Amino acid sequence: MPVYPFTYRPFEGKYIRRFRWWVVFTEEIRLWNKSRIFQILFLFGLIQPLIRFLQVLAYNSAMQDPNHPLAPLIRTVTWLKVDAEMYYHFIRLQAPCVLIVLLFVGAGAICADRKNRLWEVYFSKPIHWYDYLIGKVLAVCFAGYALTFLPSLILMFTDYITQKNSSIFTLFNYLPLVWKCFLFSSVMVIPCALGIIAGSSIFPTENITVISVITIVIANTTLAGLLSNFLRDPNFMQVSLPVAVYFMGQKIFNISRNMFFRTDDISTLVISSYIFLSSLLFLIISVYQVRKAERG
Amino acid sequence: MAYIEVENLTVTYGDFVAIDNISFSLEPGVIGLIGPNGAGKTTLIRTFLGFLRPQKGKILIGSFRIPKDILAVRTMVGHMPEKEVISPKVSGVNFLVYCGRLVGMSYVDALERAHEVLNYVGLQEARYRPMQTYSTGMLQRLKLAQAILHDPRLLILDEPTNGLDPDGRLEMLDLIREIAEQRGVTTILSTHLLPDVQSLCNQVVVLKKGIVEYCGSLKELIESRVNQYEISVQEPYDGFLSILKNFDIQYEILPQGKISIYIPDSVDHKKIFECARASGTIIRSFSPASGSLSELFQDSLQI
Repeated sequence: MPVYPFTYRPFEGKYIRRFRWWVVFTEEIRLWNKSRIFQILFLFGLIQPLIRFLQVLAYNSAMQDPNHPLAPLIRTVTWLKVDAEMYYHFIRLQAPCVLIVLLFVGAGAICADRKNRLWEVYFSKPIHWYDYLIGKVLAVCFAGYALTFLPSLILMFTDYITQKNSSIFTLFNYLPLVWKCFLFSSVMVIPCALGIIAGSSIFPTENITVISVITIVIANTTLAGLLSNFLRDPNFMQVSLPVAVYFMGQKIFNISRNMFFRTDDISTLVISSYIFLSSLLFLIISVYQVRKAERG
Repeated sequence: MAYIEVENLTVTYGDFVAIDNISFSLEPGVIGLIGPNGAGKTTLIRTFLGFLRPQKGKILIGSFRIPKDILAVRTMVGHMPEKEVISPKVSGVNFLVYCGRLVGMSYVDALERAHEVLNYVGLQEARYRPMQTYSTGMLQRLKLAQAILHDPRLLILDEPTNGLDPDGRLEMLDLIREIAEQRGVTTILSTHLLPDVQSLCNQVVVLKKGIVEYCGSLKELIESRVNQYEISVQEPYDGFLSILKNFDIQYEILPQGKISIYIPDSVDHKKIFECARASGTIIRSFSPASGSLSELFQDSLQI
């Protein structure tokens, strides 16, 4: 006789065997969206896009109307100009917000599951370690792109629709800029996300992960500063990963002014390799930890 | 036909051998996995689930080989881990939906199944509460719910009655019994609570220091002691023992003046008393050797 008057039926549905990482990805996003702190942080990260949005509207309306009262003022203020450099500065200035939001969403991504012994449940289901890790990394990257690349696209679209002479063909003129914004966003978001995920896979709690990641970033930049001061070579600043990321952004957007390097002496290949290898190291750490849990 | 086959399995943690070249096969049914701490029970379960890779040996579950077909095995296996599992801010129903989707169900299927199994395990009232508000008993039920969510053919339960009050324990055992008997799910029950094994299982695997001490039918194990008796006699009893030997009655001298004897079916019990009278030995007590699993377990570990 059943204990309860309820029962459950045999499962006769079909299993979806592909793209299991999508389940992990969507679950992560669902979990942050419920968090009030995330909502506040994310809204804080949208302040600059909002200002840039107003800038695009103001600039285009003023520049296309010679009788506009603000036109002379806007023409003289160079940093109000809507061009490729504006997008570079927009993404560059989003970096602190990206770091904060990514720390919030990524610090607990793996360590919370391990701490709460959820791995034993999740990995007893038919998923591989790489489904799990891809889902987590993509979810964290998505948060980063949502603050950099996606607002850039919206700004470009706003710029496009506020142009008087816009046509479907002028839309294609934005493609190089879309590509540059995507590249710079990726150079910023991917190493950051992988670094935080790697920290989360090593450290026991979210708080320790956050403190450790911030400490490592500060130590890395301090070391770069010390090296460049002692050796009297500003190019040693490239040892700092955040500075290397900024440099890559300048290279992507062809900006020659540089506050950190003697740019003539510095190789893009060296810095891009440095960023790539750092990201690879972070990925290997995460893979090692998660793979060990899934298959011993 | 054997449902689970293990052949020459060795699992190590570095230099430490946790499971040492064991072989056994098990039929479908309810299987008790018992052994003292460090016997290798959890290691064996983790190896069945593919969390540990064997050093050598072969494991077949159904027709699937581990670790080669591990995804197929994980699809047909439900696992209830021993330790507390909690996703603090997630509600019970959302946790189960996520687990269902990880198995490969669509969102709609997973949601429907989640509600069904939550009703079944008696968490219908608490389904929308975050898991951090659940009691130990509720978390145990939720663990069982996630294990049966996808209607597995093999259920692996690691200490399912841990931390439950007596009523909760009985309810959990009833649930497991119903899943195993009514739904025909082969169940592996790893527990320290031997009465739980005795009340549920028809097969048992006794592990000690990574070696199988006994594997087979629980009924046979208990029945092997049916003709076994324990008597305590007053010394001297040498004459009594020599008369027993003449009647082909096997005996073993135990501590504290006790003798364990095996009386074959062909010999009447009265013969023992006649032997004692003939040798002038006084029998102080005569009782059947207990068939409780606890004592059998103790005995098998002393081998």
